[in-house]
Amino acid sequence: MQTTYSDFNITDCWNKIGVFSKEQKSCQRLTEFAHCQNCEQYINAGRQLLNRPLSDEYRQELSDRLSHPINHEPKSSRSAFIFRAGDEWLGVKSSLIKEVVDMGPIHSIPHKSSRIFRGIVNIRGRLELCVSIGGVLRIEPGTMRQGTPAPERLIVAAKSGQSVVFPVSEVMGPIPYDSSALRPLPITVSGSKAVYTKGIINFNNTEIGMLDDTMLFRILARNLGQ
Amino acid sequence: MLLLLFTLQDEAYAIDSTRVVEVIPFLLTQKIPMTPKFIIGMANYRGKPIPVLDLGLLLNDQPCRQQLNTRIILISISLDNQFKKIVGLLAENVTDTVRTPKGWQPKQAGQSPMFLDSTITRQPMVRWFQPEQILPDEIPGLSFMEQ
Repeated sequence: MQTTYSDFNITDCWNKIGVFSKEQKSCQRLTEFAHCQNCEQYINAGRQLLNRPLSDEYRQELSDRLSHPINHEPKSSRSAFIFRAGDEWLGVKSSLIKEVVDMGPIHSIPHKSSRIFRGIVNIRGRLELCVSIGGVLRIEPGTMRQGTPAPERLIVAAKSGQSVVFPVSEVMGPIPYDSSALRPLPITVSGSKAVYTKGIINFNNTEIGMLDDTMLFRILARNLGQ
Repeated sequence: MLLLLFTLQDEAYAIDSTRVVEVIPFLLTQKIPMTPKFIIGMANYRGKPIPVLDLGLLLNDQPCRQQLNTRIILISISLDNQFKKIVGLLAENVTDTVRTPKGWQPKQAGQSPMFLDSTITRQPMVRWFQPEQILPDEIPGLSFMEQ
């Protein structure tokens, strides 16, 4: 059975002369209260609905629902920004990421450009240094995966005032993760990847290498001669 | 000061909200043998047993009606001046709070229960509810329970 206003001796003036009226909102009190939700008439009508009897079934349901201790699920306290370089999925702390822009031309600088330092790029009129994550980690330019190729992007990252741009093959975006989900690297991984990666997280069955941002920015600073 | 308002037999009461731990629905309770009538029993709230006192029975000898706005106010009191314990107080119309002007304090008058200035609550005759004044010093059957 549908409950109606008449069951509760409620005058729904807000529908007739108040803010929910389709015609002229003619209620005098609106000049004082601005919205019906500030008016006692409206508040009292809502309170009246709570004067209904509490059925035994609903009381039982409430008691059942509130009888179990609260389970404190481990919270995802950290955020990783996930992108792909070559065939590798990598992640960095999201707080380092300033913006992601479409791929633009990278202007190489004669005698300065290297495997790691690629040149300078124009980000909204600012000239930013462009470095290759793949170059740092010695990731080979990957064979394209199946499906539609995702657009290449430029990621602008900054740590303690130092800002760099790196081109990536694809951007997945930020994901939440818990620090306990960070697993150590397999011992078979060695070389640059082992140095600059602090662990692996699994996201949708994809292994993502979390980069150690302190180490990463240190090697970048060294290569940029800053 | 934020006051939580409730009623017992259509008489309005106000309690200092800092005394209130939580307001929970009118859960089912299990009667404890050998306890006064106003202790309606133990409620299982989130796995913890909480004794529930019907304020209507305690103050007016009229049990609270079983309706949606009848709720259990959880407060922390020290029983026998020994340890703090969470106790549930069943009251009606536990739906509203009211904020008093800054610096306002209830007058510590000898009378109990005392009435609040109606300019604060916008309702005539609101009684001030001070748990220690109104609840019995010793609640038989509860003091043996562990924290």
